[in-house]
Amino acid sequence: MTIDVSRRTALKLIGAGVGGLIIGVAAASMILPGGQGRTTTTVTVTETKGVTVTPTQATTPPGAVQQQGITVWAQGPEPESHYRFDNIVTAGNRVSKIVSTAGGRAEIRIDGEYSTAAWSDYRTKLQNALSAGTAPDIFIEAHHAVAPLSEAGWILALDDFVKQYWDWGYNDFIEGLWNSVRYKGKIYAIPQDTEARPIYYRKDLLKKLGWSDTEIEELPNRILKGDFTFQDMLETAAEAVSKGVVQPGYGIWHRPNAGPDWPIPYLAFGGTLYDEGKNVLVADMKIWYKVFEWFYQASMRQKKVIWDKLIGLDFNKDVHPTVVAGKVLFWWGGTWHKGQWVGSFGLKEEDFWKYYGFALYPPGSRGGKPVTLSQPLAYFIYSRSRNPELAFLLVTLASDTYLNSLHAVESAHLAIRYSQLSHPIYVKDRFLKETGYMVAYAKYQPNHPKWGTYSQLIFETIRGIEGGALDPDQALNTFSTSLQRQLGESVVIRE
Amino acid sequence: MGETLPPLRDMLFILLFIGISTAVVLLFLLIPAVLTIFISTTNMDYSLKWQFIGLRNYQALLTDPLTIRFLTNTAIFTAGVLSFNVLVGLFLAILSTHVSELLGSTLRAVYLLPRVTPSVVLAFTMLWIFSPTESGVLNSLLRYIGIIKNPVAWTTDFPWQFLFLINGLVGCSLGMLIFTSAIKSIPPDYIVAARVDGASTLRIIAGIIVPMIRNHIGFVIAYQTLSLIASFEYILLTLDGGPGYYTTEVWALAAYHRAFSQYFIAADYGYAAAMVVILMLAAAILTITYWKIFRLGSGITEPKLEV
Repeated sequence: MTIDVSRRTALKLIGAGVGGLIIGVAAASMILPGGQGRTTTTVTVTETKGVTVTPTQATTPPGAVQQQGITVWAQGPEPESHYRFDNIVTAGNRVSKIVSTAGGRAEIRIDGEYSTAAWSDYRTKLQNALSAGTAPDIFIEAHHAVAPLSEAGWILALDDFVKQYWDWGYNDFIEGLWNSVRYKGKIYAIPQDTEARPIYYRKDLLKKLGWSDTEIEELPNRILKGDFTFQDMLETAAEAVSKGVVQPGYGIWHRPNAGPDWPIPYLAFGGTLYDEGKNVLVADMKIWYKVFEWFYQASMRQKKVIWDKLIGLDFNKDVHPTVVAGKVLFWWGGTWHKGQWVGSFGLKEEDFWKYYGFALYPPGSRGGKPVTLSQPLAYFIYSRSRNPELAFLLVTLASDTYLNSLHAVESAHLAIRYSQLSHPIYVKDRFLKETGYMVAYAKYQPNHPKWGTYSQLIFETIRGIEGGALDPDQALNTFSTSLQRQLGESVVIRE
Repeated sequence: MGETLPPLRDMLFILLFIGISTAVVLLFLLIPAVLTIFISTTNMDYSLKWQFIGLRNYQALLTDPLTIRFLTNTAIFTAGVLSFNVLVGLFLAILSTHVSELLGSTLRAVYLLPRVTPSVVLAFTMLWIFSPTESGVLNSLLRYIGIIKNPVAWTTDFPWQFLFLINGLVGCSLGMLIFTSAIKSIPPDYIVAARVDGASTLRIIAGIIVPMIRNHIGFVIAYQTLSLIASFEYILLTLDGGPGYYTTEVWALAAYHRAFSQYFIAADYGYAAAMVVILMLAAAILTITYWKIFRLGSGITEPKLEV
């Protein structure tokens, strides 16, 4: 069916279409407010004439206000960690107060947001912004982001600033933490917090299994001495399943998605991940085989300790509620989970101490050393920031002992400064006190640009074993082939 | 338009007329497709560096043990949803044309609702209804009535059926609409003649209606197959390829995961692009096959009869 139109009419129609498009876009951009979805803190101060203006700033006529905007993106995802963002706002307020009291006029505007989205969503957003050139001045990321982000040229090296402002508080930072933010000898981020990843266990379920109170209380010490191994943990969980203390598959639960924790069993069995001298990742296949065999034994095909449908569950909807309800014997988690359970999942503080114990991951062999993993988060400064020094100073002020302790106590993360370890609000917290020793046993993920790929492959392989698709030999094969294909020269495979 | 104009003006006019839509097709379809083919010959990751590695990605695809699983899953998914779409669409079209017009159009409107509902809303609603926990809508309803005692793990025990249902509810409306209009345009003489001969309604449906709309059925099958082999939206929103180890991970979803869902900045754009190129090839082959089988070319010529 064709409609006959004259040439003129057709041209008019096309013109109307294009015109309509232009009008529509113009109208929409006028209706939309600029900078949606941001929390803004504006601070204005008055200036008196005669105040010296630093050469880098344009001289403003008297009565005008100098604007300095700094954008911050901080990530949780748990709401309890909101101080990651709020502390920068407090820092901005403190600066303005000092300036106003001294009679100056400066407006520090803190834009940005605190994200409660999942890490993968936050990272997608951040990565898009970094490659598009629209990233915030300051952002939170895991410490090992120093490697890929600096290789891509998206973050600033901070050695000069740290040296210049060493006496402003950096002299107080815990020594070992600086290693976590170093890549190729340079510092690329400022540590914001750290944590430890313990195994939690339900004391009431161990009791039902026949453990005495003393035995339950002794468990962390036995792990420290190397007396309770990874295999012992498996056997205990298997016993719980066979005796009906827990449902099949509910013996040991771990995170249901990719994340930092997956290399821990490999580390517990004595494996190394990174050769810092040569800047290559390392995969010790004999040890990986032991890890895969352990998971195979734990899977639903053998001792039925780890549920095959665990991976893929939702953290907040499925996993935390099940663990808090006491249905799982061992939970491989993080110190901040205690904060989440008490803050968002209805667990009472007294009940936490009554029902849950926590310890390091047991060693792979008897007499070995227990391990845990710490993933410090850090503040990064965008390489294209318009005022990196201001951003750095705000981070410095946001990292003071009191402010960081507020964060540590509410979100159950660990101290980054020596002075925190004796600060009244920090020491009052029983959980932080009792988990503090773990940091000494902590290992870190490698600061290598290809670490993400390695970590993803570990997750996929174990997922295949737990899902019943791979046995230990197939797992080793797939793992080794994929490592070689996707990492190439970035990994050294030791047979 | 009877005036004769110089050829140049003609050409300019035609260019302007189709230029806009051509620009859209070029910019958003053709150029990305070409770029994807180039990317599939690199090992591009998050850093967006172009490092050509030739056909290594394709070699890896051939040897990856998961490739077979993705292919099988895609075949199961496509076949299952296609059957649902065509059969339910046909059923609804026949039903809604054999009842009163008011009832019929209401029925069609109701079945259009899943298609017009935002996908995230539909996914969350379905997940809530079929939730494996005791607080799921279906589970609490069935327990209240007394049909079951313990909650049934709908989505974890019946993942494929769940996906067929949610994708089918959205997809069947297309068939339903096309078949309805096709049925309505069947010349009533055939039906009347058959009734005069004493044929029952079912006989009429099977012997007259369905054969007369076979071109439309063929079109819907072709169109929806092509759409389904690349579809992963509802799988991503509900089961995300699970439960467990890639139980419902289809080819397109695997490519998406490879590119955008890796842990921590690890993105394998090159490999994902290779997967997408294979998909494009499959789509091209399928198009040609369907064109020949259903003789779709004959369906779009001018009718030889004034209707």
